[in-house]
Amino acid sequence: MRLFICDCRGSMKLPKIDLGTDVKIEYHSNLCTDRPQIAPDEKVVIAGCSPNLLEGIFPDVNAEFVNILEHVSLIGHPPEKAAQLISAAVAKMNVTIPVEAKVFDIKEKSVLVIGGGVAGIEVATQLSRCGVQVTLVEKSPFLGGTVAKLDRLYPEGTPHSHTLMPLVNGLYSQKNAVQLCNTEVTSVTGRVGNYRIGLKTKPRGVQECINCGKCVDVCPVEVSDDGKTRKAIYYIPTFPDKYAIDFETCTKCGECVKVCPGKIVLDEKTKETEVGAGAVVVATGLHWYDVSKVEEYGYGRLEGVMKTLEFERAVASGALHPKKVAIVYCAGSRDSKHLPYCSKICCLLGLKEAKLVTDRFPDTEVYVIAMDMRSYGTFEYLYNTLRSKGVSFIKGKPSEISRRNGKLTVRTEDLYTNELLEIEVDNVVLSCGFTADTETFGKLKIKIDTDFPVLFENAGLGTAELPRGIFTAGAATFPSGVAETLIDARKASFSVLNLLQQDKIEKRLPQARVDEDQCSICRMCIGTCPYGAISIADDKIKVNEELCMGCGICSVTCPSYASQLETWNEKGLSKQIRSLAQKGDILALLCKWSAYNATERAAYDRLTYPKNVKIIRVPCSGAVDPSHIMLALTKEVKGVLIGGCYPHACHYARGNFRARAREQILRLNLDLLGMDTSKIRLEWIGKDEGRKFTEIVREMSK
Amino acid sequence: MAKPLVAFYWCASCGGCEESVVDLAEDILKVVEAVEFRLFPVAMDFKYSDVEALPDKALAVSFINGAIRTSEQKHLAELLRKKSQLIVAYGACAHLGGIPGLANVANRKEIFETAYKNTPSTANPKGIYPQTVTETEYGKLTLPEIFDTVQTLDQTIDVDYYLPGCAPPPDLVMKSILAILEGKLPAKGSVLTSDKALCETCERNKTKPEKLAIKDIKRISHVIADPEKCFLAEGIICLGPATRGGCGERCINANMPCRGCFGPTREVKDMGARFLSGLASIIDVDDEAEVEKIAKSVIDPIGLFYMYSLPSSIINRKQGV
Repeated sequence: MRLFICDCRGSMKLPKIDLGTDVKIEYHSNLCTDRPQIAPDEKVVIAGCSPNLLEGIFPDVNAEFVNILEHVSLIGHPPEKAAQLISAAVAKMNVTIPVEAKVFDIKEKSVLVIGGGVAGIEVATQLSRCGVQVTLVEKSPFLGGTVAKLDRLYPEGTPHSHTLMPLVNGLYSQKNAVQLCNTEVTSVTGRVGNYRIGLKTKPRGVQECINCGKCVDVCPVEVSDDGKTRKAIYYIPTFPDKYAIDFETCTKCGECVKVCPGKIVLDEKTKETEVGAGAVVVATGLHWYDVSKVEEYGYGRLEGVMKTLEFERAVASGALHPKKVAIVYCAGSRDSKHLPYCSKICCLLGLKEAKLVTDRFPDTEVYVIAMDMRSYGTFEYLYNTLRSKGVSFIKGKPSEISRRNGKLTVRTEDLYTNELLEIEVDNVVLSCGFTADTETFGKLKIKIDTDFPVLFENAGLGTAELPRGIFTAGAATFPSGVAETLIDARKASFSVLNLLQQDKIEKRLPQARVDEDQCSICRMCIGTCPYGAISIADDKIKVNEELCMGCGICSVTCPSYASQLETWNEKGLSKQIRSLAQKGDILALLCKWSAYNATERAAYDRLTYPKNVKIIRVPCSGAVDPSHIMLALTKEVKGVLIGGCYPHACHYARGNFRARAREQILRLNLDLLGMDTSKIRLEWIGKDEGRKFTEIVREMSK
Repeated sequence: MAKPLVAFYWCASCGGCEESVVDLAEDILKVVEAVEFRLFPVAMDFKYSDVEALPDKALAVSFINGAIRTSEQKHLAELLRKKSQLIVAYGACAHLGGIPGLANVANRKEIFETAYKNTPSTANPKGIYPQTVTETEYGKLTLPEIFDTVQTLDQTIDVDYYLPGCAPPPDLVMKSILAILEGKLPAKGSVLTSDKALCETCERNKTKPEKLAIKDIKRISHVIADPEKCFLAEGIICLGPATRGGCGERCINANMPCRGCFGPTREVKDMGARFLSGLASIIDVDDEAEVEKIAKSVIDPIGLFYMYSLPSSIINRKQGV
């Protein structure tokens, strides 16, 4: 094995090191610029500055980095400590499972966009303009999504046609885009760069059309469509420019065929096709929460209780002229029984509906009942406008909506006046939240543990990019208004282009490897993966190479050690600890995202701590093995510190909580075995909290 | 050809391992036909001197059950090692320390005080405790020394194979004896059963949800366990994921969760630590205080995680006593 030691331009005093004939030592002064040749399959140890820097200088090298600058030299510790750190790293590297580069060929240069709302249209347009072949699938018969159903956009109520028509027309003129309406994704196989997607196109019923509308005149079936009534055969002026039959409600009476023979066909078959794509963009838009679950608000039970979209369409179409309206905010949102989160846009949708009704009917009394008004940014102006127009804002959460004496009655508190109110109104508009499109994500085998794919944002991947060459755009990422949707769509387009212009992508993150000869498929690991990367396929536990981010939580969970994380495998770490921990030491196993960086901050801030503090860098506090803590204790160390990110700030979602649970149960055990468990500390240490780190280790050294 | 000579000896054990030989039923006749016993205290009247008289390596194999906690057991284990070509650690106590190994949560002094003085049914006003040598009017009486720490067999002598279980199930016993007789043995140090954990063969694994997530930890004695469902999925601690399979799921079939008598899988030294790490990981709540509360609700953690394996664990006895 080769060992490279860099003294950082002569700034460090190096120790005498003799690790036998098996380790060849090469001294450097400038490793950051004079990079030595290291073969991809070579295992090396590099001692010098922070691994945060060295990882950037040696991105494709199987190296164990030893930080003799920040952990020894800068803080005035003796060179002998550097020798100990280096020899422990060598001991580890001897048995380390190296990182195997995962290469994904980007064979298919085309893209599938799921969802034909403004986000999908924008992505398809942007990409096809750049020469990318795009298939855009929309499950309804017309493009336009939610926006096509709206009367106006927020904030000030501009007609949607200002936005939607140019977008549709922009796509229409693209040669590289294929739009498939009435089409759904049935299956997705393959992986980034080479997906095969099964599509199912339902019949439209209308083959050729001159938009005369005679079919609508004769259609006997009336359908309620989000607050508006239409026929089973209908038209939305977006794309394609022809009528469509809603076969879910059509009775196939044949009246339309009589007025348009040969052009309308009622017994068309569903078509199944398959397309290839290098990347997939999920642009499936808003998914309304089923607000009938909020039983006390009576949606679906009480006439006149409507959702924002229904109210908007009913008022705009002239079907509704209320004299008194209550707009109820957070209907099922920020509620542990329903949606625990804030959907961000519903406050603004509520304001928009308030403005719509006051614009149209200035005499109508409008009450907005909200726990809080979250009119972020310049939406505050909209709020102010409505206040000046006489809309009544009540701070509260209605407890019940009922129908009494023919009137809808909203019972609520008002925290501004400390009164209990009962407001009689003609209509109640529920501004409810939105859910993630779990169905589409499920087809793409992306598990959404929480509510939206925001989890991936936490992992530093950005909202536009889910792993596996799957991207989200617009409200599929998180509920957003039209402007934000378009921005997100452009970001997603850039990410897709970025991917497709590469012929292959290489991933060199450590990954969990499962030894089939050891694995009993006990499934303990599956739920611990923050990325849903672990699944059972062909009666084996599989780790998805595209999804695994190398946190090591599953490996430390595995009751058989069948799962091992490259670079941080059990044997390597235990060798390192055996070599490093000496009687009276403080062994610190620190998360590379937070606590480890705090040690470097300490060095830059010239904060000192005892030289017997020995630091080992781990991917996550949730990757610390209780056996390793016990091992250190048998070496009679003075203390073991595990450092991780603060609650809810773990880079890998809940790794720190797994660490906490392990530490607590281990403590129970060790207490019974008469160990001094005050030696073990699990602390949350932020990346800049050098002072906190030094205070903890100083306290532990006492 | 002369029949191979065999010894079957007991150390700190309950007699269940002897019983497991009897459980071979008619198969025992095959064994008796194939071998010749030279030591088998429960069944045959051989003396230690008979073994001492044998030339070194004269015994083809010695099966030793029980943990090592007295000087006599240590002596006999060493003697049998000398006289045997192969040593098989028979049963959980020899393999891992077993139930007697739980004594490592105390020391000799504490155990004597409890057993010979403090239990309500004991009257010992003079505080007399067992002595290794007692002078009486009839002469000197001796007792083996009881050690402070219970050890596994392989912490005392070199062991060739391990036959796991409390007690080892008959089919595994017969298979292992045949393998030894036929010389078809795996690498030295092997545990003569499956290399994978119990879940692999457990019927209930099929009913386990893909994602194991628990919000509380239940004790088997406090719930009526569904006889079909995975215990862990119900929040009942079952050591199946951390325990070697091959036992025939005897406990599971009796609707009792696995307690780990077959010991850890190949790469694991400390099965208790490994299992607690796994168990802690499936606690699935999003609040630190709640995580702590659930973790702390584990009752009798040593008895749970180390029921059979305390002497073989990393920290294998109570410290500071």
